[in-house]
Amino acid sequence: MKLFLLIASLIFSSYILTWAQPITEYWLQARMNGVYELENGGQVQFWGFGDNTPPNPGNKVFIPGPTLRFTQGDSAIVHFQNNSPEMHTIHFHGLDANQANDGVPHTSLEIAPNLTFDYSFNCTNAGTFIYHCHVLTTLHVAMGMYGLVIVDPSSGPGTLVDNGTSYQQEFSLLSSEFDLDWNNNPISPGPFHLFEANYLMLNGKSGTQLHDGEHDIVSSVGDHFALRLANIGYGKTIFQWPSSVSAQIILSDGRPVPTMPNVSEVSLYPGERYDLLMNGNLAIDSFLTASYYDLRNLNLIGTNTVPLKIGDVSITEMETERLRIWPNPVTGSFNIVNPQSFSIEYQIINLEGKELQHGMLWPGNNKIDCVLDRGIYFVYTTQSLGFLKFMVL
Amino acid sequence: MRFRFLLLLQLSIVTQVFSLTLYMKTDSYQIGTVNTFRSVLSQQPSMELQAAPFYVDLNTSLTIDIINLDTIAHELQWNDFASGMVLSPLGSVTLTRTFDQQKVYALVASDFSAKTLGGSFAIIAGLPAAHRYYWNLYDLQTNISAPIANQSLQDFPNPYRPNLFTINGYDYPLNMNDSLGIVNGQVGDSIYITVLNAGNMTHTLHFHGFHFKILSSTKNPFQVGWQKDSAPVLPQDGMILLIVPDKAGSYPVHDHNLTAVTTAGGYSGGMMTMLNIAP
Repeated sequence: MKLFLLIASLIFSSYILTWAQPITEYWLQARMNGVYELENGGQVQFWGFGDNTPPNPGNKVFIPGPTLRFTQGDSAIVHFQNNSPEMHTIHFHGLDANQANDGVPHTSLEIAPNLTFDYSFNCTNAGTFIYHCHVLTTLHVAMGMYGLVIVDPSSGPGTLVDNGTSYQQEFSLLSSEFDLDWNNNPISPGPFHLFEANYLMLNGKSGTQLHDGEHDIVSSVGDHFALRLANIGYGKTIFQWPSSVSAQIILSDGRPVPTMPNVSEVSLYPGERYDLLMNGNLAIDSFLTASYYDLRNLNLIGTNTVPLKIGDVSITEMETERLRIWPNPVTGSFNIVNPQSFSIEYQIINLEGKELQHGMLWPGNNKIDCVLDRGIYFVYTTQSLGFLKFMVL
Repeated sequence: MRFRFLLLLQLSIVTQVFSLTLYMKTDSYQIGTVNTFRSVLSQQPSMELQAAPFYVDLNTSLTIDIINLDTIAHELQWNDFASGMVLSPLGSVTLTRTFDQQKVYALVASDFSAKTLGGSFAIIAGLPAAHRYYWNLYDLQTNISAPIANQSLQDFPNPYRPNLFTINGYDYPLNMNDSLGIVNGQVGDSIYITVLNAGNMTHTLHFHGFHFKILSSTKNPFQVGWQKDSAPVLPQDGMILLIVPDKAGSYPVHDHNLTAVTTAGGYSGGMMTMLNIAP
């Protein structure tokens, strides 16, 4: 009888364990034939990661690679296919994978051309992380083989930690660098200690490429926004913003920061991440600045700027008493609450004002199937109920 | 010509130690294909590159005799004090200090020659006796080490392009027999790692496998108490890091400025060591 209870208990507990750790999967591929469009219009080659999701895997790689998004408590599986002529791995930087899944050639294994490997690890903590190739790392990272991993708290997107302050918008900036001489000659780039960062990037873009409207940080007075910062470069990147924008460090390297200090700038050394909760106190049309320093002598190499715009009306606050959308940001289907006792029409439009979806909202909660790409959208209604801004991840 | 008489180490065999003798010396050595000079401050008069730190209990008072075996003058200071002391050629100096906080009390050379060549010694207060490890980080552009050693070069080069990156005097994988630095622990152990950056630039240590807690830092108090997987170690900073491994395996620790995981321009090498964790 005792044995039966023990076995039943083990079966039940393993069921609970399985139930408690949903599996989230991604499919990534590596290629060494990327073509990067430089800010000046020229081109260089890069190596990188791209989407490989069946049944229609892509055939391109990107800088940075696709962002992998998980929820705290997930069991993560990343199916990796090496579509290149050289060895590669994936190291999940900060996710504390076990030795077999650590992506280090001399302690685990490297993935040969045209072979696959399934990496697995547990997402035990929320925060921002990095993935990168760990083969001949000085060269492979310099050539572009990296991307971001974001782990939402177990309650999902919208806060940086469980029971944390809600944010209404979310932005991520990954700092990195090219030595363009290496991109032009990766077969024989010269002594590896002589890497010279001469092309500075945020999210794989540089200079005026960051001013094309797609990289703007847009929020409103009264809103909070999350800013996830990461540095995979070889130098120090200092991020600064206007003094009218408040910032509090919530997480660093995927762990809560004990005192959650308020800061006016942060310095990210190689491999570090900071998750900030920010809010604009005044309406501004300004910039966030990233300054890149060579760690060998602390010389300033250069800067990038990202438009930082704080609107004067809190869209979310204004509409809270009327329409409500949840969750926000949106990752799949979402809900719009119509507080009226009658049905109203709604439209979903993008930032250019183009209508993408419309329909009726019944009184109370309305579940909406999301068919939108990642981005920022608005819900308009016809009954003077105003509008709601939301983000699709 | 060096002053090479050996003073008896005044180390007590009982737990409470009240005096310590240190020797400053500068000499050349070969590391792989690289020949370079290094200044070493340690308990032995010989050129020991893997020089052990000195552990004391909290509130221990020490009298420290420092003997300069070099024929040139040096300067020394505590890394938490601005003022220094002069060590005349072949001369000596005696100082006393009480160690009342859990932290690294680092004696670091402050004259250009010995500072650039990494002369440093760590006195570590308040750590349990078990599972203690020590990483002395160092970097140098070795083609200028000889003129720095003989003091004919007095200015730091700009740009500075170091080609040698070491932990406890050796680069990876030559440091794989380093009993001070290679961590051999067990799941559940509280492992204390003391880091002293004796080099000329900030090094960002990244741990595979585990997050560490920063227990103390003299130069970067902002991050004390944080749990990190990557953190800067500023020049001449002493930090105490704690890991409690939750799984077995071998995991690298390395500088994530990836120019520093090289030796003489070759990969892999440089500033990397290992955590070996038994079940």
